[in-house]
Amino acid sequence: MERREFLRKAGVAIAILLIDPSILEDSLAAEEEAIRIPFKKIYEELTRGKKVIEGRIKLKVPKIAEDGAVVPIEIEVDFPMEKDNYIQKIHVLPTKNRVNKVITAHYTPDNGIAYLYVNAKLAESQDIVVLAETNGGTIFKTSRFVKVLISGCGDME
Amino acid sequence: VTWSDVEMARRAAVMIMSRDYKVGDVVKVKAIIIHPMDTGFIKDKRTGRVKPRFFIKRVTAYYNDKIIAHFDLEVAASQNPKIIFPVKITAPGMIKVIFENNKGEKTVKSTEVSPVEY
Repeated sequence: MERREFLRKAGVAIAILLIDPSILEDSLAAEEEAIRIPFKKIYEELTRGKKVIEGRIKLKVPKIAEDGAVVPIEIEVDFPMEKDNYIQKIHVLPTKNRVNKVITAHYTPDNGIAYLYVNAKLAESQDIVVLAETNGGTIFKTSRFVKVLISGCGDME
Repeated sequence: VTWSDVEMARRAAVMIMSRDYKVGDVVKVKAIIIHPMDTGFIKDKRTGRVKPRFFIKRVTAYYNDKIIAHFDLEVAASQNPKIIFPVKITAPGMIKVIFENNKGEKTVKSTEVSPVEY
C-alpha cells in the first residue's frame, strides 16, 4: 500500500470511529441489549402454516407460584418417540413477560419419551403455553394459568 | 483463540436421576449450571447501570458422542438454569453436556452411563 493511500484509509477509519465508535461493538451489542419477545409474535412464528391441536400434553405447573423467579414446569407429551414419528420440539412460552420464551427443547427418538423439566421466570400471574411439535410438523398445544405472588423479574430499569 | 474456544470454569453438574437402570430403560438426566440469566432490562443496584443480557443460550446433550438433544434457552429461564431431559439407555458409556452462554463461552460436564447387568 502506498503511504498516501494508507494515510487516506486510516483517516477514513478514524473518522468513522469518531462519528460512531459503537460500530466496533455492534456485534456484541446485538447479544447484550435487552430483547423483547412478544407472545403473539413468537406464537405466530412457531405455528405459521402448521396444524395446531389442543391436548396430548401433560403440563404440571404450580397453581400458585410464591416466587416468580423460579417456577417449576414439567411436561410430558403422550406421543411415540419412534424413528419416523416423534416429538421434535417442545416450546415453553409465558404470555405476559417481556420475554415470552423460556426454552425450546430439540429432541430425537434417542430420548425415548417426550419429557422436559425446566424452571421459568414469571413477571406476573399469567398463562404458560406449551407447544410440542412432531417431526411431521403437527403441533400439540396446552396451557395452564399460574398465579404469581412475587414477581420473578426484579426491579425494572 | 476466539471466544467460542474458551472453556469457562463454571460450576455445573450432570447426573442420571435413576439409581438402577438397564439397557432399554428411559432415564431422566439433570443438567444444571451456576450462571446468571440477565435479561438486559434490570439495573445493577450498585453501579446504577443496566446489566447487559448475559445468559446460557444453548445446552447440547451427547450420548456416546452422538447429539441426542439440544436446548435453546432465553432469559425467561431461571437463574442457574436446570433442565431435566430423558435418555433411552442403549449401551454403557458417557452422557456429555455442553453449556454455552451468549458470549460463546462453554462449560462441559459429563456423567458415566453404567446400566446394571452389564
